[in-house]
Amino acid sequence: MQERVADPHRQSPVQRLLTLRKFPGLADADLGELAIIAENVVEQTFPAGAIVASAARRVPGEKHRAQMMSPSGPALYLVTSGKLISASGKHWGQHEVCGALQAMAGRRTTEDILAEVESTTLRLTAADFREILEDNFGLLSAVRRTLARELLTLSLRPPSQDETKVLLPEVTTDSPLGMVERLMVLRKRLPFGKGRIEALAALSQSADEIRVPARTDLATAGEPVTAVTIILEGTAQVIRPDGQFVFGPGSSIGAFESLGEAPLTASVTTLTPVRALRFPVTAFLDVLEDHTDLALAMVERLATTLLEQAPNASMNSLVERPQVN
Amino acid sequence: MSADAPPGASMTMRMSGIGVRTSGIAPAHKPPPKVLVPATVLFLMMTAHAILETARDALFLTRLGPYKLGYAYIAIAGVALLAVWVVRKLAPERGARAMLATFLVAATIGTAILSVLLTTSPWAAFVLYVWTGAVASLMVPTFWLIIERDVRIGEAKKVLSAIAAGGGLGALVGSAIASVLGHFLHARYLVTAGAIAFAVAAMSVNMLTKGRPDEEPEDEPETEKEPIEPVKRESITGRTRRYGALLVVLAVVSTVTLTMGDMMFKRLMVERLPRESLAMVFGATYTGLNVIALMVQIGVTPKLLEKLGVGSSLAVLPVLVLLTTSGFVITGATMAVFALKLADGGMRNSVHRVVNEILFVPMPAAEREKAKPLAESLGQRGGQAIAAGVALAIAADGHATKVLAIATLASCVLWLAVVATTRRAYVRRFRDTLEAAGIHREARLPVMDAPTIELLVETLASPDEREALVALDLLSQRGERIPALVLYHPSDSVVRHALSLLEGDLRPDVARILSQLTSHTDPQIRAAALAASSRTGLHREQLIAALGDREPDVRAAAVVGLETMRGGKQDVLDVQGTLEALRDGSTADRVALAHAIARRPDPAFAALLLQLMAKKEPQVTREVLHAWELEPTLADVERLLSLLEDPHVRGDARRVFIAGGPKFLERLLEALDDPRTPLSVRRHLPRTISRFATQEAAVALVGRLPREPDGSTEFKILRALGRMRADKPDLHIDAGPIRAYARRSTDDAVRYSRLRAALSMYKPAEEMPGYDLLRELLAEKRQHAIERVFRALGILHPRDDMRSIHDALLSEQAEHRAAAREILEHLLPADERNQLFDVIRGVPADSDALKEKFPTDKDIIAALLADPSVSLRCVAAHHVVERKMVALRDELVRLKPVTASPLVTSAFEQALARLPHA
Repeated sequence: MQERVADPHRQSPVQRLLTLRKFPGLADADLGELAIIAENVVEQTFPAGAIVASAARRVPGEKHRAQMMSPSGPALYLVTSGKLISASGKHWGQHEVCGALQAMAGRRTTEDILAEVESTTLRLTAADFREILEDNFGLLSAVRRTLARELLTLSLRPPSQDETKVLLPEVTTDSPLGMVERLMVLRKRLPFGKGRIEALAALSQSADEIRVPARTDLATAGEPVTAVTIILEGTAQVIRPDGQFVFGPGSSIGAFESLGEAPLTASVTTLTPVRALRFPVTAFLDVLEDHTDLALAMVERLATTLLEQAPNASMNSLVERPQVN
Repeated sequence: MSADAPPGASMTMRMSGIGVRTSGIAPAHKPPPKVLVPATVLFLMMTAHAILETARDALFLTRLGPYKLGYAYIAIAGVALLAVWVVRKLAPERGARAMLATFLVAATIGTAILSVLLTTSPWAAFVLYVWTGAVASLMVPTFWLIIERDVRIGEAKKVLSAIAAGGGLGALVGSAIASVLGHFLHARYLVTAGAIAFAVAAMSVNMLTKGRPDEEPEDEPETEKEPIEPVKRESITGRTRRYGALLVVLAVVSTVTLTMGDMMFKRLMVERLPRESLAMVFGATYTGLNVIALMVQIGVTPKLLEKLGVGSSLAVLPVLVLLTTSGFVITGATMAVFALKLADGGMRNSVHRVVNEILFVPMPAAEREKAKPLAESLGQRGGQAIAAGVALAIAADGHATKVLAIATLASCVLWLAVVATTRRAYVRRFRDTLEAAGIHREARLPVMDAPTIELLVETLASPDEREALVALDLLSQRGERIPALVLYHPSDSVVRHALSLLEGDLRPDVARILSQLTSHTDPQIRAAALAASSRTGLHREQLIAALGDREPDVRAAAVVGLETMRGGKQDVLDVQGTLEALRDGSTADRVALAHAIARRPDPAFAALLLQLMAKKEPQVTREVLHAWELEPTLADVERLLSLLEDPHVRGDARRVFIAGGPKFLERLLEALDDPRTPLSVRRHLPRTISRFATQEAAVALVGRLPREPDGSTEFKILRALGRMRADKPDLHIDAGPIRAYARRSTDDAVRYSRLRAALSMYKPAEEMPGYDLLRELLAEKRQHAIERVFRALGILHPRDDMRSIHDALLSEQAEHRAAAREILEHLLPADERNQLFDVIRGVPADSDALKEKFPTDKDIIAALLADPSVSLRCVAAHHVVERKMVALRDELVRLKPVTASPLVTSAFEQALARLPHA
């Protein structure tokens, strides 16, 4: 079965804007950003049973069918009418977005998505979405905030010391770290690793190296986040509503909260003397504004983490516009 | 399809209907595209045609005279129309190659018959003339159809030039043969020679490949092509058709002009030469012209295309025709007509032919197969017929040639106009390719025509609050009146949003409705209603009563209302105390108070607003800034300036600056020039200044660009100017500093490229993170320098979407790279773009020169230590320690005092401390 491209005259530009605004993630979007999205989506109507997005690249022996089913690359689908359903039973109704996380992570869908009933979608490829984010910092920030807050709500298990201590092989000296050493530390830390060196250099420049004695509070849950701290040496106890953990070298405090511009979700107290890199949130956000590549890498990393850590996570909206702290 | 083209590069964008076939630059190690066989076939065809052409001219002019030429052209046009019909009918069924073979066999037989008929009637010369034209009309476009199916735009200039050179050589050899034979034989025997030559050419056609119809897999997957919106597809398809039509018009106008020029030349020849020597003279003239054409084809055409690009090369011949014809019209000198013929002969079958063939390359095959025969018949033959009609209309008296020259001149002016249009349309073809591949960045909000406004006003009443909200936003952003009745909307969100849009300038109708909402359940609506009441001075009792409301929004609205009503007079109520309680209360209290003041920004609250900001709470600061935006006279400009460093409120601070107007802009410009301005503020000044979008702002930013010492701020100036010009392309800027900046950035890219190549020559034996970091950083710097070039170009050419061109040039898709190159050829002078192309392609640096400049690893690291880039110097210093380059200690000591960057100084100090002593 084949999708058809919808009648181009069905919606005027204003009507398309009105339609897009009905999607929860776009309800507060800047109108200019909305107009860009409206300009770049492709309206497609699928009969009941048609494959909207196929996990498989090609059906053997049925090239044409595969082409029609899966135009190419990852994409997200804004459902304007009807209902989409995945092979595993997830479904997306009117004004929900199918494939948002995958598109942000730059991944193809892992299962076929079908139209349960005749459905119309606005399709936006992941590549185009990425470019739109690159050009529209407001939208990019909103996506970044949304993903980070989603991760915070999932209360992911922090990596164990064994997993993190290998991250900092360069810290071999007791003397203060130079800019290049800080940069190398950041490169070892996801999601910074994918940023351009200049972006990380800018972040390194804003960072301070701190040495904190044992039994010192590094963070208090509920307080506004003012800095991101990356532990270089020593350990700290983390108290969260879902339990207590020990953070060691390579662990970061306040990273997701900074990205989500949300209050701290954990209280952190040093167990031993701690040596750490600390950079202010304002500097961090400035670097993200100046280096879109880093911000995009963050978004991709956050989406990937969400997909990996919470396979059933499915964002039915593009972005939320929560109030910043 | 070229051997090096990646899969998919050959695919026309059938889904989108675009069909620009392009390819990238063939890497040097790949074999050159095959041109020998097509060039040979064309050589043989053109040899035959040149022999026949010489014979037909001599026979026609000898037997019928030049004044019958017009009838011949008209007849040729008629036959050519028939030829188009034949080509269109046969092409899909037989394929172009088979068709060409058929035409050449027919040409052989027909010409042989005519060579016999020539002895029977003088009118056989007329038939021969028409026949020659008809044969050319069929075989030449069919030949190029075969070639253009296989050729990509990236290689077209070289390939088509080389193949056309084969044709030029053929014409030369044919003319020479005709000239030599003309000394010994009657012209009609040349016709027999032509028939023999056509037979040879017919046999050569088998050497040509069958072409894409057979090679291109019918079922090639199209999975790499994204579907595009039907509206866009229609628009692109429409443009493709118009482009095809334009090429036909171009062919008509150019042929009319050149044919009239040719007639001028022939008239002069006939007037001044004895008839019996015409064959020999024509043979010699054509031989001479063909020699020139061949020289031009081999020596000039490729360089001209390289230097001027396709668009400008298109104008070369018409400009020459214009100059020479003008010379004849003004002076009457025969030399001018000879010069015209020289230009025509030298250029028509070389530059002109190649460029006109290239124009067809970026068309989908189907469209090209329609347009090309039309261009050949309607265009060339029709053009000849029109020229003939003009010539016939001009009386054959003493002034006829001059009148013909004036007509030629007029036609040439028209030709140049069509060239200008074609040039734009040609570039548009490539823009379509890039637009289809990337996002559309120029999206604008819909135009507010009457039906749209009506639709939006209707939508305000929609029960779906999201629809009503967007309608509000659209109406507000376009400055349309928001109906006060929206305040009766059942959704509180809609009413609150409407209030936020209506509060600034409270209209009487809004105030009336608001004053009726003082008991609304929503505190914000209640507060807004109280604020409205306080403006009219009524409902004082309600305000007093509201002081006890549990909602801070309502209390704040009441106390602000009462304070403004009392106008500084003493009051029995403790208004001041309530204000202070709110100021010193919770964050929500302060937000409510600041918001209430923003509803009615009064000078009495100026100090209070500053006090509210003391705790640096972003929500409170945002509300204060909102109040300042509504009443900029309340703003503390210095405080406002410092707020630019806070990302949470930067946007709000910028809006206050804009509201403050020229006075605030002046302060921003001062701060940009003031070296004492903290870097954390300075870096946000360019964007803030650009928001003014005024001439003054643009001048200041352009002026600052070459003087800005901080790299990050410099880049932000560039971005800010780019946004300003993108939003207002008509905003005048001084292009000089921007061009200079682009050149400097290109030089930077070249420098980083060479430094990286030099560094790679001295790879350390063991793995060193600093070395890898340096290489990565140099690659990144080169890329960033290229980006800066394109940002600068984007400022100079705001309508040309330089961002897409930049992305396309760096893309892995050969078709996108080639399309971007074509567009840049249209925009940039050759020297600038060639340097840019070289650095983007990563043309390898001369290793001998690098060895000479950096004879040891220490020399290259020393060069990096002295580079202007802060990060590069820091990493280089780190690498000095990593590599234990003790010999560079002196260099570190020497450079340390002149780093002009605390960060680099620190890095150098650290390196000196860690570096072992010799």
